Amino acid sequence: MGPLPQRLRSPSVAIGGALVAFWIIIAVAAPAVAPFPPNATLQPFALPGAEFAGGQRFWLGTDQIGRDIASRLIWGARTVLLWAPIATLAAYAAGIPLGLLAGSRGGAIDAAVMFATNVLLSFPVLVLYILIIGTIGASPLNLVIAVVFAGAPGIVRLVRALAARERTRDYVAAAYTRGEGVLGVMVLEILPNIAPTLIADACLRLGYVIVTLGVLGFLGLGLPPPDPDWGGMINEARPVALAFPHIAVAPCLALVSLVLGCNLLADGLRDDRR
Amino acid sequence: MTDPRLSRPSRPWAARGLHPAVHELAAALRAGAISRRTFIAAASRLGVAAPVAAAIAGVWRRAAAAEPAVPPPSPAAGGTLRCSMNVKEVSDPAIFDWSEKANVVRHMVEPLVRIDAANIARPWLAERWQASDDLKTWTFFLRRDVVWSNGDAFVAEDVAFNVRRWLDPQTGSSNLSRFAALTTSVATGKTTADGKPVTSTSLAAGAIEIIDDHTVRFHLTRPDVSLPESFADYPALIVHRRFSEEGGDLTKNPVGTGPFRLAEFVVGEKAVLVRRQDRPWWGGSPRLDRIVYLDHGDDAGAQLAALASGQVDCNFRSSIEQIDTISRIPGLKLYQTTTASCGVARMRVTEKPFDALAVRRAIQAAIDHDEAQRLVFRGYGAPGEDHHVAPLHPEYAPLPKRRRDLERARQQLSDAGYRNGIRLVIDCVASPPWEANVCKVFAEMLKPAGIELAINVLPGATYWDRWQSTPFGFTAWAHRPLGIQVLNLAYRSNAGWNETGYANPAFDALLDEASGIIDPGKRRPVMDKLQRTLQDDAIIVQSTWRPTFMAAHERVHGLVMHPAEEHHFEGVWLAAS
Repeated sequence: MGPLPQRLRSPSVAIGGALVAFWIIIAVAAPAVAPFPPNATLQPFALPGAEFAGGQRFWLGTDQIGRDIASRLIWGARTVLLWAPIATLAAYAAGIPLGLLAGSRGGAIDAAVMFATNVLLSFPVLVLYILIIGTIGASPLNLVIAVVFAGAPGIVRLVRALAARERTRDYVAAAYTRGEGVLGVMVLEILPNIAPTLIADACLRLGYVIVTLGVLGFLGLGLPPPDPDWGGMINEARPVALAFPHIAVAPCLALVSLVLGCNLLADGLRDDRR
Repeated sequence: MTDPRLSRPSRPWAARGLHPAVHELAAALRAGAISRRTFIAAASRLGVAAPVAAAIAGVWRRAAAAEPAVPPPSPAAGGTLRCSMNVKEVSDPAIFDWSEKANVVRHMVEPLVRIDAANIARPWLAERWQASDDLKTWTFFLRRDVVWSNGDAFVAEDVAFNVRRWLDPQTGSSNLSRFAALTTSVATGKTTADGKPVTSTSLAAGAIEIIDDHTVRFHLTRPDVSLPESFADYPALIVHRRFSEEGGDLTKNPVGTGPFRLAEFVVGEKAVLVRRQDRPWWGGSPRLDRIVYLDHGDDAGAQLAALASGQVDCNFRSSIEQIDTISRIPGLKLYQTTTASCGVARMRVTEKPFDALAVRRAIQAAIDHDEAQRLVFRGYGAPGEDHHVAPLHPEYAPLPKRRRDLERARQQLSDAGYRNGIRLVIDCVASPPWEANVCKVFAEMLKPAGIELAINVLPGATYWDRWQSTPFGFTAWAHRPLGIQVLNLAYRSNAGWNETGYANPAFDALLDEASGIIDPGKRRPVMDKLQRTLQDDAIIVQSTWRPTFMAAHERVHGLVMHPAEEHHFEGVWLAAS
């Protein structure tokens, strides 16, 4: 794998970064750029470009209860770009210590951690989400909890494999010889060396989490209405999609572009240019 | 006392001029909210003759000039009508709990009374009925020309057998509460876990009297003006007097009085009815040879796809979201009717903060019913008025229009001590989508009044577990032919389905009075007071009176959309291709 600065110059990173940056700017500037309040009920089933009183336009049309789709997409970007990274980071916060511990120590600790992750990984992910959200209810915090439960085992396994590989390297042995403690070796020696791979993985995983939030919204397990989230918008559009495809297409395209951005970024970051 | 439901023409309001809803329809027509065609169709359903309706619409001449008379297509001989609808278990009508079940067997077993498409109770197996002045003794005179498909004559014992069976607690029929005026409750000597005595409700002794083979009299324990409507409800289809002895299963022993016979039946797949061949049906000769119901699952999209591809000729129900799709499919025709079904955002008056009248009034005042109708039902249906009596109910009393008043809403909220606003949570079901859509629209309307409404969307089963106890919930109510029926069910103190905890002795007394007046016209002044009381006490915010839709191919004729989605296919015919 090439050094990080070199990898940042790849076309994948440029395109992916631009897509993600676009949505971040949109999300941050939502109050300024959204033409209407996201939940305001104005005029049902307006087609894209339709004019509204006062000369304003519904650039992407309105949904079945008259809410401006563009404004909902813009405000929905805030939801997804706030909670998807939080959920991903939380999953890493849970997965990294456990993976490092298992990978750098081995033995009984490794066996116990692996057993627990295998149990969780044996559940189909979607069933796990439905079980968790169905039990504790849908709220932003509960979505984070669900993503941590479903996502952390994979991270544990990845970190554990990387750490186990590093454990046998000379620099680790040198650190132990210098008299560094286990915690010091894990955090100061092993973690910095596996970080580039983890960053690339995090970008990819962020894409998965965005899709997951979309899927949960689509299944009616996402954030409670009426505030917009893209998956929920696609779900609400389903019954009318045959006659008014624009209501479903817009949030689908938004979701695709953001996930594509994350994936391209991840691809670029792990680009092997040896 | 002769029931005005039997007078001919039996439009209760005919003698007093037009039904009040006709004036509203005319106003809607003037405002451009509905089309002339819709106006004429709706006014006709309300008892206005088509030429009169057209004259009101001011289009008689123009319509005649613009639409040259199209000769009706020639009917095909016989034919099979295929309908997409869920096919559910139909062995015993007494325990039916879905209208789809009754739609299959209504073509084979029939009720004493039928509610027609104009929402009026009409004689069916009973040719007429009579009530005593105190409405406690009802005599039903049965048709003499009805013969069961097994050759037996239809007699009073058939009716008595059915009523006895419905009101036997062992049967488990919902008719036990529908015909509560024919029952008595006795203490069983047992008590519940919290110490309340357990009672057993069953048929009162001497409640049924067979006068002769074609006359049966019912002695009620209290006046009940809605007895004929109860006999028209879907679990009140009359089965043969030996139904129980002969297995108690209509699918295995399809004996009926109706024009069709159930020939094939598989739950979740299909039901096939063929025209009865043994002897002519008492009601004449239906054109169709067969009716086939095909089950395409719960997905409305799959049902519509079956219709669009020609796999079926009509469907049971189309949603408001599908009507544009239907209008774009060549050869399909959309049927629509406004019903007395609706949803209510009901507040439990025993729970905080809804125990404060001012909070409830603030919520009501912030809602714009016309706008909610436009947004969720695209102008179809009729706006709710927060008293749960529909314009199509014969005893409906028109009250001044509800108008949104944000100033009053804020003032009421402030009076209740919530100067800085209040945050509320409403429970509602996830499907059908219109219910959550109404809540979303209400949430936006409440915002400027300082009320933040969060929506807790629940799976149906979870909601129905708590529908009577949640402080704030959105409950869908089915169509009932009389306004008095739903008031008795939902708003009388301690009524079985009283979900608001509302208990008002003055309201109950008015309800008793209204329940004892058979003539809807005379009942109307009392209904006026009842409706105003419910509005003033502000226990519900009512959504639109729901429009319902179905679709059929243009070759299908004689199809009439019923407000309770009942199928009456004996009058349907197919055009020759």
